[in-house]
Amino acid sequence: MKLRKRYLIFSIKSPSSYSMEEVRKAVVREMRRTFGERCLALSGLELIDYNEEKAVGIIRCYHTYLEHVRATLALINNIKGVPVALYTLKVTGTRKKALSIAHSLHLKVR
Amino acid sequence: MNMRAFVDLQVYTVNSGGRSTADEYASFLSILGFKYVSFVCFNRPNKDKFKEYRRSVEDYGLEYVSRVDLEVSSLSRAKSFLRRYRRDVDIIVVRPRNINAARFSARDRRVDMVFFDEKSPKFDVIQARLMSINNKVLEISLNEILVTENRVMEIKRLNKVLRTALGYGIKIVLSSGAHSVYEIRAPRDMISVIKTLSGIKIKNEFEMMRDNPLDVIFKSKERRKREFVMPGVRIVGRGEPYEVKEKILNFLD
Repeated sequence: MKLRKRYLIFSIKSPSSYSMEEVRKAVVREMRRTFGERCLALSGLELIDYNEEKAVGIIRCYHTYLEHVRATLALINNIKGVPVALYTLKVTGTRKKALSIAHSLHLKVR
Repeated sequence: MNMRAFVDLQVYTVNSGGRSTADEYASFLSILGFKYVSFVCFNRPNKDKFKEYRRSVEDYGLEYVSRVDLEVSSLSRAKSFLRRYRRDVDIIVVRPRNINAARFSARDRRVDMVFFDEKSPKFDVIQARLMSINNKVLEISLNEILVTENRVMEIKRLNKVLRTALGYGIKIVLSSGAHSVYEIRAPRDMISVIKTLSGIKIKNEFEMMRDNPLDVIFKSKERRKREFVMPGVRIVGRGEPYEVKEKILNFLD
């Protein structure tokens, strides 16, 4: 089966802001904790883009692991001890479309 | 009935042990695509609070559903409560504190949903069968997985509860159980968590956040109408008082 890519556009609601590296570490840690290293390796998880100002990011994964990645984002409840809520805004099939949606967003939920 | 509307029926405000206000919840829930929201109110309906909640929720285009959570350990107290307040609130949820209370909540038709929290007895097969016979709805909360220290045990428990409930055809309502605005999650994300962690194939997973809670809300609202007498019986109109004709009275004499 061909592994098609999916791009999840997500947003972070938190009292403080985070760098791209902090978000990436939090997502990877949560995925490893919940679904294990096998799932982390096979899901093709990668943080493509993250805008600190808007608190909006894009994660790439394979379509077979879309639900796992969604669940991973939902299960993150703190980054560096500060409470956060990560939620998926949209899922697309191309990077171009994901970037255009992420750039057009004007929300910043604190 | 708006079948595309997502519902979150278990949210704790500062008045019920939470850390966020109704306004904060409402603003975030509306962004995430929820349409109906209900805030937990323990053991006694507070009409002033209900009005306050309704006002703050409606400002964000959401609809408010009044809810009371009844912690049942004594059956006589539970019965008197149900007798007194059934018509005042949209939803009555029972949190059983012992096995008798759990069985009672599964049988009594005035109870809308049953929620097994950490102080409740185990959700077993007998309970599931009773709830299935009486068409009772089981509420599960995502927050228990989200904030627990021992996630392994919680996933194990969730899996067992879901397997038993679905096996007996019990309707399930999935709520956030959020104590803070940071514990609210998007509806699709919540379903993904349940699907992936429990590993159970659920036929129509959106039912848990859409159809089932809406069913509970509308059934309860129907019951609270003045025309309602009992399931299957309602007043459709009022006639003139019946007067016995003189002819009939003569005949009876």
